[in-house]
Amino acid sequence: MPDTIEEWFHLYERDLTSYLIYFTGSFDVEDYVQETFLIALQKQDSFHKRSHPRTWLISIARHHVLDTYRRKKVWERLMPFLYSSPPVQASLEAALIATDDQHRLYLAISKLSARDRDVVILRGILELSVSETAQVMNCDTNHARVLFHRALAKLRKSLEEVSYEEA
Amino acid sequence: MKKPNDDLEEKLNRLPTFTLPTEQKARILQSLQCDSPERKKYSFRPFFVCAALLCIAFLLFVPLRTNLSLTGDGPLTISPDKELERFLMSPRQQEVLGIEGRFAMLGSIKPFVAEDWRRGAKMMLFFWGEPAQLVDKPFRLEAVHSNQTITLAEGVLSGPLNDSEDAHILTRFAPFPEEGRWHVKVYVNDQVFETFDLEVLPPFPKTEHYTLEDSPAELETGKEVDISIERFGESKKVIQVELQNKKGKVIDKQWFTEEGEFIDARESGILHTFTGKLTFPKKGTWILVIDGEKTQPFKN
Repeated sequence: MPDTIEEWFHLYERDLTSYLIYFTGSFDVEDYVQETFLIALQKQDSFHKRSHPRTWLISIARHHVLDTYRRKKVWERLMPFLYSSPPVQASLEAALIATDDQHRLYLAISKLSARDRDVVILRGILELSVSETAQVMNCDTNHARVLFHRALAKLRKSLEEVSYEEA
Repeated sequence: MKKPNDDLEEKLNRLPTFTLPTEQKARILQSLQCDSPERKKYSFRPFFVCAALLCIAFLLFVPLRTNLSLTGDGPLTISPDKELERFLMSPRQQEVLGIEGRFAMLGSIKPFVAEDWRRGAKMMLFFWGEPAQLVDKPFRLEAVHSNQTITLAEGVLSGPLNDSEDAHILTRFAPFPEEGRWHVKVYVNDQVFETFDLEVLPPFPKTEHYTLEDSPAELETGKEVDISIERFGESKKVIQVELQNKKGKVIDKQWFTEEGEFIDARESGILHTFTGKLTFPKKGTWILVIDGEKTQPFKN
């Protein structure tokens, strides 16, 4: 297992970047990736190898993004006229249009709730195991399993809607 | 029995993953190397609060902005363009990639791979149009992706090589620095002649001394496939290659034998090629340990 944060960066940067891009719907994730590794660097002593470093890093990234969103939401409530709901970023769509199927799938994922989207990204796209997903989402494994199955059902429905809208 | 969701899970798994551009990665690595673990977490908090208040005060006086920070300027702003198609070019019935009657490329049959120079090393480009507007005129191929533009090739067009086209040029492409969808603009005489999109595969998995010569995405799964690996450095008769899943479990372990050596025209060094067989059981995330050196995780 690599010992330095630089090795972790080489090994898990792609997972973190992918998670953050799908989760935020934006390619502008450099700051999040950097902050995640800086936080990990500070907390490295508290990492006792109970979980896989990848799971640990994704948890940090997830908390960091949610924390930023929460703060942003406070400001949104205070000054709603400054904000508009974030649209699906056209550039991300463009990068995904390898096939029409993938395009539709991405649109369907973007229509899911944050929690469903989270579990779909972790289990479905990044292929984390049920227990790893549970660790990241801070819930028990049964709950993570149920969440994923429900999210897949919703995703299937959302896919049908997307196909219907396109038709 | 197959679960009904299997197909959907497979599709999710095939969605692309992303990596930061090289310069962003370098910046982060630099910050990690500079930043000691004792970094004071909250030392800049008062500064950030002041800065945030100032920004908000500023925003009150500027026209409303539709997107802030998270969904702001994405690196890709170009809408998708057409893709090239394969067709046969008379009189030699060569398979080319292009837009019939306009532009075609004869080179590697395989897709381009990021950071790779081999597949674009020898490219014949064909043009169709008004001969007077093409022959002896300067051409340039520019590729755009994530707010970066590179020149793939440039030069001066020659007359037809066969009877079928109106101009041609033998050239080489600069490597694409990143994977993903690249938007290519073909200029002739500084005017846009044609545009199209190209899908560039992720870089070949590599270690300090070894580079795979096949793109994992092109390898068949569930059966033994031939794989070539290139070594930069001294010769070795055999090397051991281990295929691990993303959790580090060994899935396949094989010996690869040296096939021959080549001169690397770019760096004047000697390259050794090793061949062997590996089985990727399915699509997923994998790591190769080549002669004790580990690649970064990659998807097939």
